[in-house]
Amino acid sequence: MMKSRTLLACLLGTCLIVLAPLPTMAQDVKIGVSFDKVEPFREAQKAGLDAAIAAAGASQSFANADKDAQRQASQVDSLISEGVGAIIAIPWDIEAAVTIAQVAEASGIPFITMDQAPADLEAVTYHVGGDPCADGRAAGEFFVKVADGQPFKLLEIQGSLSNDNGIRRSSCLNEALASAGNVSVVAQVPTDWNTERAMIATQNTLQEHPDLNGIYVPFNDGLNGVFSALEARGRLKPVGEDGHVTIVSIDGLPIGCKAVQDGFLDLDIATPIPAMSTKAVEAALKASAGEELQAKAEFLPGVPYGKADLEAKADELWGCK
Amino acid sequence: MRMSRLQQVQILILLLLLAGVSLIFARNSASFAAWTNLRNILLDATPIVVGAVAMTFVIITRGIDLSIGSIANLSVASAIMLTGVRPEGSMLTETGWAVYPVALAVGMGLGFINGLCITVLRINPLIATLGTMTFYRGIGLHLTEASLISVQGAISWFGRGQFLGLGLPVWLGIAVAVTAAVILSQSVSGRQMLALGGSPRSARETGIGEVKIILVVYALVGLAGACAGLTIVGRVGVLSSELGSGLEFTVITAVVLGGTSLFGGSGSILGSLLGALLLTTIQNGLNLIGADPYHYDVIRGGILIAAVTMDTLASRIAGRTRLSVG
Repeated sequence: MMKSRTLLACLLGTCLIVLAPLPTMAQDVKIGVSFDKVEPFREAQKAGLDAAIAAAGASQSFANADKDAQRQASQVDSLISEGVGAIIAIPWDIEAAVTIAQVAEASGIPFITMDQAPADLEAVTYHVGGDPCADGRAAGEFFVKVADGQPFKLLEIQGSLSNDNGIRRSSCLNEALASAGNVSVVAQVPTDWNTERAMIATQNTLQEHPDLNGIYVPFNDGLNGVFSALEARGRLKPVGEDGHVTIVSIDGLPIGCKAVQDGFLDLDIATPIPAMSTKAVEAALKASAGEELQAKAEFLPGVPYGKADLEAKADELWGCK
Repeated sequence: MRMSRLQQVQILILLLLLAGVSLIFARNSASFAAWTNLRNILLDATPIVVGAVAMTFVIITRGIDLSIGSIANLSVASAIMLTGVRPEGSMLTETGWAVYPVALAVGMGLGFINGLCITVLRINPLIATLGTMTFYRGIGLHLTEASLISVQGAISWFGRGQFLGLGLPVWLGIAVAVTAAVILSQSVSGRQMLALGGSPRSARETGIGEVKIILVVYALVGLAGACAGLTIVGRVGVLSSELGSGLEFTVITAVVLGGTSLFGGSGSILGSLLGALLLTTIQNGLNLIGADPYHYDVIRGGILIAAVTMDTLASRIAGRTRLSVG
């Protein structure tokens, strides 16, 4: 049986070929890739970068900082010593990323950040990421639309409060909800992107608010925990059925797509990993060749999709392939 | 063996704290004191209770185990990978009953390896388990390729099963706590653990089998880690790379809250049980009253500091500071 990582890489590779052909000047360039951690979403990003780097004919050296800013700094030092042409990093600590970027730039190595924006974008050569604010806002607008002026009780599960994606997916959701007085956020629970904590948050909120109408799950990994808690209370019902709890999630992982297909997830917002990977690699290769980049930073909003959109948006939904 | 006066005071402080926070939450949330919510608290506390009970043994013997969360992850991951079956084209892995013995055996084995590192290689417990924490998690990530693995079948039986109105994991937690309390207070092994933690040199001179005790307590933490992992995955229905992440700190916090001395030689299973319940109750109550998410850590940290401060004051009043031990 084909390994899932290989399969994911093949799928993302196909997306990349469709989306954007990369320059072919990269034969001898080695790109240093530094990740903050490994987990399902990062695996998808790794597969995306693998495919983009392979498509460009470059090679790579990969390091995982395992949630440690100091370790990430050391690994970047090693990548510089190794003589990589450019570094693509997903920073663990957005403040520390600024210093790490300065060290790389001082050594003449272009430093590109992906997904998590550093505290100061001026410090990096280029940044490409999702748009956590646009995604959070899209989720909020969806809840307002579903509530349709009626009283609506919402549970907001939060990711991490020390992380740019976690903070902005939350703040922009709340901005979008601010104008709708009928939608009340009855609980906001930080989970540190942990599935079990998402389950416990749902279970506890259902205890206080058995008539809960909606749940915002800003990471697909949390969905299983939410479904498990809903099932235990007899509230796991597909979209359209009486008593259904409206759920919106973000990521676009296969598990999110399956939940949409099964009818339990109303809306998922797929982070455009293939486009993000392509742009990061493209920028790394251009900068290492001394070419000027057209933009300093790009934020790519996610692709919102429900069950009705699966066919129409199939090309953009890498987690559904 | 009866509880010392100091331990009685510590337990009293914890009970008062638990009663105090429960009263505050009950006043602010209509559903806090409902039976279904109390049942939820017990169920949520189980992985921490089981881990804290085993960790109490380790800390009593002057040790510490930072790898319990990684053991929870690796033991369940290897059991699912070894015994689970994922039909072609499906996203669900079907688990059979073999997942239980395999996870428990792997967990115990990993704990035993920790014990070997400490006794045979003579590595400091903090360093040894810090190393295996990373090592075990790394193997777990490698096995699962850091992907989410949705599971069903036998593994859900334990996590979601009920008996006499309580979740099966709660019964396990009760059984583990009662057995451990009896072992610690009534058995020769329990007295040997306390003696070893109180004064390792004296314990060695009186012929207490230090190596055997250390191997057993670390293997028990491994077993507890596997139980915690099985409970969580059974409830959630998915094996995530984050499984067990941070469990070690919650468990150690519960043990310290419970009054077990980090210098070894004294501790109480009842205290650790109450510490675990206090932490879970705070989490549950904050959720129910819709607390500001930025207050969670502040309140948890504040209560820990308050409990430890009261414990220190009680120690001084009793005329027995922790530093005098050993």
